[in-house]
Amino acid sequence: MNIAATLPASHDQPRTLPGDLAIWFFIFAELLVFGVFFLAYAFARARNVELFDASQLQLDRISGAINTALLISSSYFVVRAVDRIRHGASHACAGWLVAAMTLGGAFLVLKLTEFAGKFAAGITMSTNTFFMFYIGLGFFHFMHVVLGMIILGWVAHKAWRGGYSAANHAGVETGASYWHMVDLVWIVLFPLIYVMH
Amino acid sequence: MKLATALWVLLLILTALTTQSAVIAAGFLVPFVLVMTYIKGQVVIDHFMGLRHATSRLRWIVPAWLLVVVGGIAYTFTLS
Amino acid sequence: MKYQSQAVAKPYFIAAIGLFLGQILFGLIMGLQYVVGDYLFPAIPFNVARMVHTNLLIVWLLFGFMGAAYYLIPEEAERELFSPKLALAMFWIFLVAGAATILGYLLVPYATLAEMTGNNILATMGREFLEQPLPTKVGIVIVALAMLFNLSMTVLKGRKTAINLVLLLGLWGLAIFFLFSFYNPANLVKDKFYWWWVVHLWVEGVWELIMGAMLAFVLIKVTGVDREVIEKWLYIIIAMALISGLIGTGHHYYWIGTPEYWQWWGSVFSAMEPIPFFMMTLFAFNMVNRRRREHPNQAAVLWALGTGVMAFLGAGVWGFLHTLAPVNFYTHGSQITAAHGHMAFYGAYALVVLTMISYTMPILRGREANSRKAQVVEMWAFWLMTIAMVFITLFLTAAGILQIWLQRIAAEPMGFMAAQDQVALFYWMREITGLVFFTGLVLYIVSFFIKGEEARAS
Repeated sequence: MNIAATLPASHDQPRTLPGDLAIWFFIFAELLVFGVFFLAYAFARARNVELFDASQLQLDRISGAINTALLISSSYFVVRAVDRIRHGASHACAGWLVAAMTLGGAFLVLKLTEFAGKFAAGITMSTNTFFMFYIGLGFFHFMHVVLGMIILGWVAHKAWRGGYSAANHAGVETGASYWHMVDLVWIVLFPLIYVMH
Repeated sequence: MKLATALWVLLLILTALTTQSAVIAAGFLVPFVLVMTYIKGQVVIDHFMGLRHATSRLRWIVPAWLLVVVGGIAYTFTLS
Repeated sequence: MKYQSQAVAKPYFIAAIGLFLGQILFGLIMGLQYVVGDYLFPAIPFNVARMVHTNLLIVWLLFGFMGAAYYLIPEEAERELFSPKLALAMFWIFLVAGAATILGYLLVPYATLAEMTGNNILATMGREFLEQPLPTKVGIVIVALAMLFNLSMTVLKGRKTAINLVLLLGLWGLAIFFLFSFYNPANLVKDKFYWWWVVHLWVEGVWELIMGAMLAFVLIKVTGVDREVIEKWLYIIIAMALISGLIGTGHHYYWIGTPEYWQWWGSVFSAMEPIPFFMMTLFAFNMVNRRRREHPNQAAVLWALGTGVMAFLGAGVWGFLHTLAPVNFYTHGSQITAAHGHMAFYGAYALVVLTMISYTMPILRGREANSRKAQVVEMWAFWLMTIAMVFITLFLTAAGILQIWLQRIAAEPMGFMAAQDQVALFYWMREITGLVFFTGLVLYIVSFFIKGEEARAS
């Protein structure tokens, strides 16, 4: 089931992993941690289905969906930013990155609102196993969005000042790869915790 | 970039479908959502992360991660 | 050596080795007290011997880290140390304070020592590893800050490399997390909660940065592999160490009155903690295999490889053994913990300091490497100590498994002391192996006094 295989290949030349190799090891480690947590959630749920299903009903699925759209769109903006710098357009690259960060910021605001609602309702990590995962994983991912935005901000700043070029822009790709990872993790997290029951 | 834009729209549509899955696919919600998730993840990996065109020997790791995670989740939903 | 001021490392290393010897002597005393309960009683009760054993360990490792930093930072920064005099003054302050503290433990009852040293002003004493009286703790902070000032000034004005920045970050972390030793809430749960912020965040957090930097430094020197390659490895290792280690603190929060979610967080994150250690093993062997030169100091290469392997076994494998909450439910605070503690401290931190000493001491004494003869003795010391430590760990593990069975799983569980009697055989074997370790250490010290013609690169 690979839809991508049916789509026309892009015009890009074959190359090694985009960006710095070191960031990829970092990404692999992050994915490992998230993956273990996702499976832990799934197995914990299988042992306690009623509790998980009942607790899940208290979540705001629309808020989660909007957040998914925000991260996907910001990921797309980052793709545009990388495309611009490949053509040597530094300012356009920085512009797209700032747009991506704006959506990231909106994600954080929405997520905080969601958390505030839960805390106001007296829900904490100790309420039950479902909310332990919901708050714990959500917060862990939240911190990754923050870190991703710091990285993007740093790259945008350097891009704006002309620090990258069409020939040399590994830094942009490094930041972009990390941001896509944050997006990818949320793409799994949203249906798992908000939707499936 | 046209491809990326098309994929972006596709991802948004799939997200909407996932969100409304309880209505659209009441009887087979779990497999439906998992397939949506797998497609979305694979699109991001292939075209946003750009691993489809990477030549590195390490490029299989992220798709494998997606497969294992989605597969593992699918398995646990058969347990209950 | 390249810079005159690197010479301040020498007294630090000598003191470290001296205190190491003391640590092992008290370990032997205590090991015997496990089976002969009243040995040396009342002169040196078990609790005092234990305190001296663990405190000497921490202090000699700190001496080792400091000495290593004073050697490494100038060489990496490519300039003289900001103030060699300050470094030397701090050495004497630290040595005198350390010696006075140990004498205090040995000569005065602990409660009296607490009274004499102002524990009623700010209560900080009585916690494992952090038993030091208030003046000693303040002294440690002063020595650490003076060292950090000295090293930071050197790096600020000099070349900044991945290695000296990572080392500096680790040392700053070490000093900052030590500040939690001054916060000792009366609530026992909170006390333990913050206590781990010193102990865990040291050994499973910032010390790993120090270790990674030191290992990378020695590997660059003895293998001649490109700095770029080694730095990339270093970055990955420290990233993994921090991701897994920081939240991994949760594996100390089981069953002590903290919220239940720590069982999940502690289990998942600490299960990742072996990864950076495994990468260090790969790192060491990979770099040595890709070496561009045969360094005449083959002993240093052996210590470096030993660090990679033993750190992974002790910290990684033996740590993982009892880190998952469902397992730890049975193993908590048993001899399994002691087994892990011994091999992890030896494999990761004792060996990395000894690696650094092995590489730098000949240079500090005016030659690139020791004579063949001295190196052979040094390598013997390595093998004796390392094999002895493997067996100490295995015997303690066996004792732990039996202890857990008798005390916590069997149909009719035994009391603690009754179970201890049953595992006495393993304690005897551990003590005998301890003597082998001691022999190795004596050989190690002897190797410094063996003369002969300087070994040359082949």
